[in-house]
Amino acid sequence: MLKRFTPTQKIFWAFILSLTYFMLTSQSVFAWTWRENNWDINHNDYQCGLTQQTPCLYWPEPNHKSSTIYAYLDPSLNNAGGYNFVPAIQRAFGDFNNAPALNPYIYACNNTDCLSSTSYAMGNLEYGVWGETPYASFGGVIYTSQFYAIATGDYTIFSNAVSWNNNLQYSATKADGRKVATHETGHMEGLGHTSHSPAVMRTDAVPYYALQPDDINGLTTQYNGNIPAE
Amino acid sequence: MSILSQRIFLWTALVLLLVLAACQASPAANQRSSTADQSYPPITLHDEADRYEFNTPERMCSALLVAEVTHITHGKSRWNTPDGLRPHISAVAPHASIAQTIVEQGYRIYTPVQFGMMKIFKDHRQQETEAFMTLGGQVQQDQYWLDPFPQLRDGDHYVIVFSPTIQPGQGKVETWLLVYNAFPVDAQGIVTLQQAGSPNEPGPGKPQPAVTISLDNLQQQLAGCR
Repeated sequence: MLKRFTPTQKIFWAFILSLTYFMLTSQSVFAWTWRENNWDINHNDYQCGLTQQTPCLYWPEPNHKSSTIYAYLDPSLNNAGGYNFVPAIQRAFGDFNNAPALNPYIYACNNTDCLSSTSYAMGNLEYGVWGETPYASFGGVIYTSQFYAIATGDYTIFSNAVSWNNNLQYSATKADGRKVATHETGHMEGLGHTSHSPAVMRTDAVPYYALQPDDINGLTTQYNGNIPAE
Repeated sequence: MSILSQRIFLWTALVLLLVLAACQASPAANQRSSTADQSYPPITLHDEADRYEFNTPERMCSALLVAEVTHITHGKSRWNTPDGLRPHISAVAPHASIAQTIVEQGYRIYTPVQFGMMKIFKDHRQQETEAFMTLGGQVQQDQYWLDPFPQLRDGDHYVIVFSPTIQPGQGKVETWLLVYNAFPVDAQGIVTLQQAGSPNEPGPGKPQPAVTISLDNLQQQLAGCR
């Protein structure tokens, strides 16, 4: 049958087949089930997983391979009232990329790849709020940001009314940018709030800014298939 | 090969390329198309905030307003737009979704609340209060919620820390005050400033302990704020 094609056509079909293989294998892979992972300071959230109406999320990466998230860093982050947020965000990305878990690998970018993933920017947030990242309702089921990032677009916004520092100083109008960048990226990676200490996923002031063992435990539980005993 | 079979071959190749390109495009890209009015799809946002907590008497001293409240009634949720309806989004940045643009510009859904009893512990207000609001609610098909901003139950008893609200293009405003923290008060007059963490929560960290204070003690400490 191959003899029916000219050499040019053979090269063309080889190219098409290679392209097909590349596109199919480069698709993001993820899955989720009805299991606990959304630990949160709000007790009412602990009902999740008991019924199909109150699901919790859990998505072991099926191929033992992290998916990829491209994060667009808006130029507004370069000068947030004199504070450059970009190093704080990239430091946070390093924490998550180095975690011993199959959580999504995050690249900072400023090109069209960013259109398929998430975005970081400054914005007008409530008084006392340092940063905000969504969870999303989708088809009546609550999905975490990580799913949302891949499915419909996601964002992290830092308050433009806060005085940012690298000194672990906090109040309603000032905060450590490194801690908030790590915390918000944790939401984007699928972590909820925690009542545990130490953990960067606690809200409020904490005397550290990097991922803590409790946070990493959350990542390994969600992505490595370590379902917590309850 | 005949001209006909070559044409079939070229059309097949073209269709294959288009199908592959469509497979690769993500839904996110569709969400980020520009919208110039109120006709965008329903917005459902459940966001998580990292924020300062006014959960000690010392911290409450710097709050705009602290009060004990009971007999709560809720009004109709509204956007913080002049007509209370969903915002007109005139432009969406290339890398921003409609939802991101709405949040980034300071558009929120607030729900008015009224208090049958309100006993003020600390008051730093400079302007007359037109309304008290909780953050979050549903307006037509749009929903917005921001954890950990509290929702109030009508029959419950709280000590509430109020903060300014925000308006797009203006930043914070004090004519509408926001329920920022709501600390439950039990029948014995004990205020829970921090809920105990759940023992069921997995992870190597330690669950936080409960922190409580009596109403009288809290009131005295706030009266002594410097």
